[in-house]
Amino acid sequence: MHKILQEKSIVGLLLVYFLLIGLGALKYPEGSRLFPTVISIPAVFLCGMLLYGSLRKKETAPHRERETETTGPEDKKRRAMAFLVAPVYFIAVGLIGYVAGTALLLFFVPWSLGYRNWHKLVLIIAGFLFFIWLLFEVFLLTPLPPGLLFGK
Amino acid sequence: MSDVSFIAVLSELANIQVFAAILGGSVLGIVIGALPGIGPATAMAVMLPLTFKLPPLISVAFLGSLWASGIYGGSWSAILINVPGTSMSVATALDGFPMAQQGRALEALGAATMSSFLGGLAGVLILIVTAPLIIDFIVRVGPPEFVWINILALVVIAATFQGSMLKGIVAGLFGLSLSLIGIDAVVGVPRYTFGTLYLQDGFSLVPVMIGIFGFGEVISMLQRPGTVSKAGKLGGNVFTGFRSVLVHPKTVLLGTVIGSIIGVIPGTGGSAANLIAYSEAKRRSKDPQSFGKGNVEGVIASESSNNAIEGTALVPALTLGIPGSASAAILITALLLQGFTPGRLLFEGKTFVWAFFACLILAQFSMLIVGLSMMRVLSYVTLIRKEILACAIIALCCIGVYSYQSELRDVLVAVVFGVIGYALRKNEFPIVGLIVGLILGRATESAFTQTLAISGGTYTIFFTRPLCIVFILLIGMLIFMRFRIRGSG
Repeated sequence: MHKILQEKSIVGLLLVYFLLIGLGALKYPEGSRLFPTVISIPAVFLCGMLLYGSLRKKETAPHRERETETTGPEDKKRRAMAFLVAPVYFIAVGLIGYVAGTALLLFFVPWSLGYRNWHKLVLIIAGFLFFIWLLFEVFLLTPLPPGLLFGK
Repeated sequence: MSDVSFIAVLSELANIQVFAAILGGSVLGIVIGALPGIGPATAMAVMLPLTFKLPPLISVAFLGSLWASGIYGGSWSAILINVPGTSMSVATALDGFPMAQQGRALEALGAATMSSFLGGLAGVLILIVTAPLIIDFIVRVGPPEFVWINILALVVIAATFQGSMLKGIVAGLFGLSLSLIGIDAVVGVPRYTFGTLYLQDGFSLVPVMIGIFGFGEVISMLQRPGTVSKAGKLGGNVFTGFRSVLVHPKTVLLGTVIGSIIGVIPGTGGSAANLIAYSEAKRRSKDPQSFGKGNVEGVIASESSNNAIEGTALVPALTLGIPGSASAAILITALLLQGFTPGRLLFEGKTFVWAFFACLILAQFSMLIVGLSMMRVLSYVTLIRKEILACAIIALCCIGVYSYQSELRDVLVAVVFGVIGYALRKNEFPIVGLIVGLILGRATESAFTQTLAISGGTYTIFFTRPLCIVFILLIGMLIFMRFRIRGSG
């Protein structure tokens, strides 16, 4: 069920996206709107077919609802973490900069997922950041993002 | 190579940095390729920004070497822990892991190393022979034919994709639609930019690609607990593996031929090649029952086929600008970022192209040497915890994307595309279709409008020129064959 629902929503979103591309093209001058229209028409049609297919799949395979989806608290935590880590890290880098943001990422994510060897984590963080600093700041002359709080 | 000075090519190569790049690419490729889930495409995407500031030849030599060794590295985890490092090594695990269980891990690794080397070398040689021939054919390709070639590329990806063909086409159209964002090349009007300055240049390939492969992979990785591997003990003898490759030349040839043919077809990648080569080797074997129980021929067929792909996947990539795989797409991106456009123009700067081909040959030797020297030590890399590895990938992707144009918004784009890529992959949409669509989008639109300008606005030109008809027939045939295979399956 989870998979079918996911597929339905993804195909539905794609259908809406292509509709918006097609309708949005109408406001552009003729030469500019032609190609978006050429893309969006078959795309909307194909997404419609896929959506119909996934709706039918639901009707014909109701017994396969629970598949292999894991629902334990640890799995939920991991799933939430998997989707949230990158956006939260992006915000952290924007605010406190790359070095501090990466140090927090490399410490707290493994720690919250059950890795408790903090000596090793500190060594990994130091080694990783030294490697990045050497590669980008020294060799490639690319400054690391300083962050809003520490930026000049 | 008639009008290219051999000395000029040699002088391009006579640079210690080129050799260092090839060697570095081999080391990194094997390390990353051996980590399950991180294929050469992810490694190349992560490393792509590091190559921006390097000279062109060094940049592509590094990425080419990374690619070759990344494919080969996938065999390590397939043999040692029964987890293929990449989808290209699935068949390697079928006999490689039973060999490891029998205490013949080093023999299996030795066979994988030698057959990867021979397959890779053959693929590059095929590239060298066929690419100039295809370039001569390109002269006959005008804008309408170019539109059909690009459509053919997207249809091939969809038709050869193991899942739904419709999803393959939708992924391609999604990629094409992403290329619409920004100032359009025909009228100069900003399209779908929502009034923002940032979107006026459209989506750069770098954040999109790193997002889909890097961040997308992290989402999968963090959901599965544990270490990357439980590391098996090594046994057997590397040179027994070498010898077994040499006593099975027909299997090497079979794998190489299958890999080379599949490599040329855009979008198929190595996922299909290694399995087809394995099945064919099993079908032709006098002892098919021993396959799956530790027959070294299974490893040889799989590894020679997947490494032959690198060279031949570059044939459509370098000549027509149509990447045969995600890795080829990244290599094309690197070339574009260095100011080289695939196609006839690229071959007009011939010294560079031949020097690049020479680098690809050197990369095979480098892979062989590095593979041999790292065989024992690297088995420890697969002991890294996924939580730590995933975080390191996030941090590497972030700095990689940021360094492209010192723009934090590029990182946001990468994060968003990581989620989009993950959602599409999870629902069995081919990501390669999206990437190829994005790469070809702008060129296809230009060719499309040029064609209409030539014809005075009539569409019949797309259906009346001889080459157009050939491409239409090919597309029709592909779709027909796909439905026929599905019907009989």
